[in-house]
Amino acid sequence: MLAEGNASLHSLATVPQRTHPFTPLLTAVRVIPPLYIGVLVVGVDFSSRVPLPGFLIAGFIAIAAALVVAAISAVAWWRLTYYFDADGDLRVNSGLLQRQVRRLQLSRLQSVDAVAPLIPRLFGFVELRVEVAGSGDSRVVLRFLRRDEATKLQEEILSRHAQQESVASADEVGPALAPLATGDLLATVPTGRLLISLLLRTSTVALFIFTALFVAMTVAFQGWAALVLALITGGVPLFAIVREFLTYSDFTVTRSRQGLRLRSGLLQTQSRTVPAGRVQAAEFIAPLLWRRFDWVRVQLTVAGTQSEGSEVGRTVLLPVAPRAQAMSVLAEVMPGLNLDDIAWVCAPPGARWRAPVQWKFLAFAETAKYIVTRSGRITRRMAFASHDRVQSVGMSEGLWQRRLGLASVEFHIAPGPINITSWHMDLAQARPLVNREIACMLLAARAV
Amino acid sequence: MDSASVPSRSAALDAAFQSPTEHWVPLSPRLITARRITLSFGYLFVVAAIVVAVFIPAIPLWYPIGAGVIAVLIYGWAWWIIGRRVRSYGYVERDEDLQVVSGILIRRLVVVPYGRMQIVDLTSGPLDRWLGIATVQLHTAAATTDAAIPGLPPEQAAALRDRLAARGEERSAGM
Repeated sequence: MLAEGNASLHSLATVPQRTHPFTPLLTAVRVIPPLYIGVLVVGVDFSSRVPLPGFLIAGFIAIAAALVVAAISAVAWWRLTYYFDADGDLRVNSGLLQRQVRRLQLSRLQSVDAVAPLIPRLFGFVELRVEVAGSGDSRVVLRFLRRDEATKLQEEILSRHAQQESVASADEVGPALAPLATGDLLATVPTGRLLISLLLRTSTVALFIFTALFVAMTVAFQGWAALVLALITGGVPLFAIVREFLTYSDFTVTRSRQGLRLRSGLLQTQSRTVPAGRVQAAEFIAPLLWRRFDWVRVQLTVAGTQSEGSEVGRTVLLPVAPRAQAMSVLAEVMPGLNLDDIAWVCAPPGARWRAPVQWKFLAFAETAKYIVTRSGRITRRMAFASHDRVQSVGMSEGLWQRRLGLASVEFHIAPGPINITSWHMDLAQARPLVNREIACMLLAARAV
Repeated sequence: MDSASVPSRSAALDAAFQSPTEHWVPLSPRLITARRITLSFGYLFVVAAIVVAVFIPAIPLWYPIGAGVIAVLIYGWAWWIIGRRVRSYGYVERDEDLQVVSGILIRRLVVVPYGRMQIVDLTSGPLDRWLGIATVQLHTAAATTDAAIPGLPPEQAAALRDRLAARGEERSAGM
């Protein structure tokens, strides 16, 4: 009843609005530094022809170009309007030459992220990224909005989404979403731990060892070729560390009514909301050198999300955290998950001939709601999915596996970084596992 | 169409993939023809290359002859394996799920509950149409679900597609 009352209140269409009028200015200001540097680098030899210092000319060119950008962006700003239509969905009209009308069905909302790039952030502006489930162009970026405006719009979108969900199926609101207080801090990642964890990743350490070797070779044999290799083997992990450090600095996980809020970033603050209902699978990753601290990274496959520069569906829930903390945060999106009294079924000894390194760690476990698999020796992985998110089950057996009486069972889930496969199980256990999983999937589907 | 036509090798192992109590439907043998035709078209290039090599004086004659022998051996092996691979396919529609088995070197089983199916595709290329076969492909929300049933007679494929779509609709749940 309450939902209905609110729905009628909310389903009123709003008037079309524009983003902040400073948008063209901010867009233009943002392009000046890279343009300036670009012009300086490319046009080093102006100064021979024009009686002005190069840096001034580069400045003029950059400003002129920025003015063009500002003009185009002003038209784009004028053409972009957004409003909520009578169905309560978000409409965005845009397009410089061709009119584009987009309707974001908020019942299929995946995420609303406020992102603050460096320069707009200095002036208190953010961009709002709204993403809905669906293939193709299912995201819209509203730039730029004042931070408080963005927060208000974000809240409005989330509450309209929550309403549409509850109207769609009154009892679908999971227990994890409904009764929570807003803004509970669940976890933070201390900067020191983040840095150490990035340094201690297996690939990083391996590449640094190679770098040291190459440097030693250079010193010992007076050759320069090894030093070039050292630059690569040293530079790549260094670059990765810097990038991840910038991305995951100040990582906080808070609980909100709409799901978990993840916020991080040093130069550019990113925040995203992970609604519990959209989580398809989760994975703990523990590289060799993290294990003495019992640290894990937690990543999720969230349906339909795609953040810039990363894979489809990938969301890092915690870049590094002690296992116990990781478990308690994960339990927010996967309620009832408990590994303490879980019964692992391990790969048979015969699996050593197929997977000599990791066979001892290969296992699966089933609970009433979840399927769990683990694999890997050097970097250990433990993957989770709830039965109602598994889409289909596969079993396969290669020639060599057949000789050893082994089979692998795959649990197919929505696209993302996580692969849930129970490798090289005893064939006699594999087929019953497939049947039990199918039964659990059907049961989970009926329960919904 | 009857379960007797299912190949039975090393029965105990295969029973895990292809339960002998179910009614497994095999593919049309016309798929074997289709795949062998495709294979042969690919081989036209090999034959052409070998013939050209024969007429180039700079290449010793036994080079193309050796290549020809190897090509014939591989061709024969591929010809034989295509037959076995197509015959290894089978599918069964059960009460709540569809099961597909395939493969000889790597044996695979895929089980898709009807409620998880999102799209059922029916496709048929020019060669397929000429021979009278079609492919039914199931899609779920997972891209990794690899459940295709190639080489069914068109009426059988269309009927299967319709049945699957109807059952999917009935039981549709859960993304």
